[in-house]
Amino acid sequence: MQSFRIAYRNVLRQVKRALLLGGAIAFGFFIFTLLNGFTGGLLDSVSKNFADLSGGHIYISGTEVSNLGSEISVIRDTQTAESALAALVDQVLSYNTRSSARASLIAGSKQETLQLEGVNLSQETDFIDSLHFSQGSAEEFLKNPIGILVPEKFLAKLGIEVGESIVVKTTTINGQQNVGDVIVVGSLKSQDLFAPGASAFGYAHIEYLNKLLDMSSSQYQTLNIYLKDLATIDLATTEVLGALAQSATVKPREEQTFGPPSPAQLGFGGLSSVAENERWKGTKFEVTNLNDNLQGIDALVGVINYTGLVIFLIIIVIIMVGIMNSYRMVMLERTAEIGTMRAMGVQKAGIRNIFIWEALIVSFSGTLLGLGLALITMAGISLFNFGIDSSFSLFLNQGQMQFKLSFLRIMGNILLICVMSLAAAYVPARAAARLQPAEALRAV
Amino acid sequence: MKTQAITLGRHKTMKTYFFALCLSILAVLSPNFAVAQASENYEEILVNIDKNTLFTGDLSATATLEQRDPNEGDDVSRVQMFRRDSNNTFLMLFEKPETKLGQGYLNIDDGLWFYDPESRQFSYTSISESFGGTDARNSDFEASSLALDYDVASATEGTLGKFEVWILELEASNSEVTYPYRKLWVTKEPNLILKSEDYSLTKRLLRTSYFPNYAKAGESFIASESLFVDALVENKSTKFSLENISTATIPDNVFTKAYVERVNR
Repeated sequence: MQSFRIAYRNVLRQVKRALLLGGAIAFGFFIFTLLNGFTGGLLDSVSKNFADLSGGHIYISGTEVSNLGSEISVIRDTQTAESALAALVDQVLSYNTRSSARASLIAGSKQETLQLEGVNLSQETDFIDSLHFSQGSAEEFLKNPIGILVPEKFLAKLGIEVGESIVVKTTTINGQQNVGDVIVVGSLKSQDLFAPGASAFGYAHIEYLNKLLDMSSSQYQTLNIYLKDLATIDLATTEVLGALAQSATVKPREEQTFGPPSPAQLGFGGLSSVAENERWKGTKFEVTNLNDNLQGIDALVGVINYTGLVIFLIIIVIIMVGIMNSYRMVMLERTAEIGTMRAMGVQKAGIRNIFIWEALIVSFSGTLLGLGLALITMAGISLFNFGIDSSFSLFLNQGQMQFKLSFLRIMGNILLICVMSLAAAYVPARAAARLQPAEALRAV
Repeated sequence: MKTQAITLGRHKTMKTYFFALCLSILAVLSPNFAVAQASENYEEILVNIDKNTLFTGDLSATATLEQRDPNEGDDVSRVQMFRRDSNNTFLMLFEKPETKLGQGYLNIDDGLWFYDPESRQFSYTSISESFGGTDARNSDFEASSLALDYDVASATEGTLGKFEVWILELEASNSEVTYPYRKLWVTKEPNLILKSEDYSLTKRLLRTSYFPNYAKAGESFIASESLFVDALVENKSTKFSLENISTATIPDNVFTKAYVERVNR
C-alpha cells in the first residue's frame, strides 16, 4: 500500500501530465463506449420497429399451387399452421394472423399506393400501443369494419379528411383486379423506412382485406408469433418448422432466400408460375424470423462496432506510446529520487510498483471519466425527440435515440485499457527499478 | 296376366315418353334453356374475335402511348414493338420519353422481363402488371384468348355509333384472369371488339376501352388505335396507336435478352 500511496502522491504532483494522459484515455474510452451504446440501442430499436411492422418475431407463411400452376400466397390449412404453436409450449407471448396487399387508394382524380396490412386488433393489443395516431383512434378503427388507417401524409396527398370514404383497388391472391369502398377512420404519424419512396403502411381489418383478396374470413397469409424471449428465436423457428414438416410440405430453411421482398410478394404484378415438376399439393409452409429480416442491419451494426474497435485500438496504441514515453521521462526526472529511495532500503519491486500504480491510477481514472462523459452524452441525446416521421425513424424508439450498454462489455473495456496501460508502463518501470542506487544518487 | 302386364308396361312406357316430351318442350321454352343454347352460339363470337386478331406470322410497329394522368402529369411514350403470336413472344423497346429510353419488356419462354438500361439488368415482371404505369396492361399486348378465359353470361343486340353490334357480358372461366367480368361491344361482321368495359371481382367498373380503328395485317386485324379510360381515377386515360405496321418476318434474335442489351449499347 506504501507504493500505492507514493504513486497517488506522484500523480497529484504532476497534475498537468496526468490530465493529458488521462484525458487521452478518457477520450478514447468515451468514443468507444458511445459507439457501443449506439449500436446496442440501434439493434434493439430496429428489432422492435420491425417486429411491430411485421406483427411478430416468427412468421409462418404459406403458398399453394393453383389448378393453372400459379403460386398463390394463402394459408387455407389454418389448423396445421396453428398446431405448430404447440411445439413452442410456453415460449409464445402472443400470436396473430395477418393478410397484406399492395393497394391503391383512390379519391377523385388522386391515387396513392401503399402496403395495406389486414390486422385483427383484438389479437394484437400490443400493436395498438405502437401506433401513433395524428387523427382518429384505435377505438374508431375497431368499431368500423370497413375502416382503414393511413399514413398522415396520405391525407394531404389524396386531398381527404378523416371520416371520408375512398376507393381501394388491389389484386386478389389469384391475380384478379378488385375494388372496394373504405372509410378513413384514422391517420398515423408515418415511419419513413430508410429512404423516400419506400413502402408506406396502412391498416385495414383482416376480414375486409380478405374479402378484397378473395379469401374467406378464417384464412390468412401469415401467422405471426411474438416470443417471450428473443434469445431463443432461431431455435424456436427450427422447432416450428419441424412441427409443420410432420404434417405438411415445408420449405427448408436452407432454401429460403432473404433480403428485399420480390415484386410478387409486395403485390406488384401477378402470379409466379411453378414449373410442372416442382408443383406440390396443399399448403407449403415457410417459416422465417426477425433475424432473417435484420441480416442487413446486423451487418451494419457489425461494421460500426468493428470500426469503433479499430478506432479504439488505434487510440490505445497512441496512448501506450504516450505512457511509455511519459514514464521514461519520469524515470529520468526522478533518477535522484529513485536513488534516494533505493539507498533508504526500498526494494526494486517497490520502485517498479510505484510506476505501475501511477499508470494504473491514470488509466483507470481516465476510463471512469470517459465512461461518465459517455453516459452523460447518451442521456442528453436520449432527451431529444427526432419525431417518428424523421427519415431515420426505423432506428429510433418512439422517435428517441436509444442506447444500450452491456455491463460486462464495459468492464471488459476498462480491464483492457488498464492492462494495456500497465504493459506500456512496465518497461520504464522495470528500467527505473534496475537503476543502481549509487549511480542514481550521483544525479543529486 | 302376361299380356296385361305387357300392356301395362307399354302404357307406362308411353306415359314416360309423353312426360319426357312435355319436359323437353318446357325446357326449350324456359329462359334458362334459351340462354344455354344462345351462349353456345355466342361462344363462337369469342372464338371469332380470337381468330380475327390472331397472328400466325410476325408483326412489328411503332406504338405511341399518350397518357393523361392527373397525379403523374401527361406523358407520351413511344415504343418499338415486335410481336410473334405463334409462340406468344413480344418485345417492346421504349424510344420516348428520354427518361425511359432503352427500357424494354421482353416476353419469352421463361416469362416477362423488364430491362433497365441504367442498371443494365433484367428483372422478372408479371403479365398482369400495368404497362409502364399506364391504364394499358401488359396482357393487352398478348394474343387474345377470350374463348379460353371467359364464358358468355348474356348477349343482346345493339348499336354503337353507326355499327350494329353484339353486346356480350362475360364471366371469367378461371380465377386467374385480370378482369373477372367484362362487357364487350362486338361488330357483327367481322367479329371485332369496338368497346370493352372491364370489371373487378366486386363487379365495379375499372376501365373502359375503345378500339375505333383496326388495320388489316395479313388475314388478321389489329387495333391501330385504342383508348383506355380509367373508371376509378378521374381524368386518367391512355391512348395507344400503332404506325408503320409490318408483317415481315422478324429475325429470331430480336426476341432475346442479348438483342435488348445490344440495341442499348
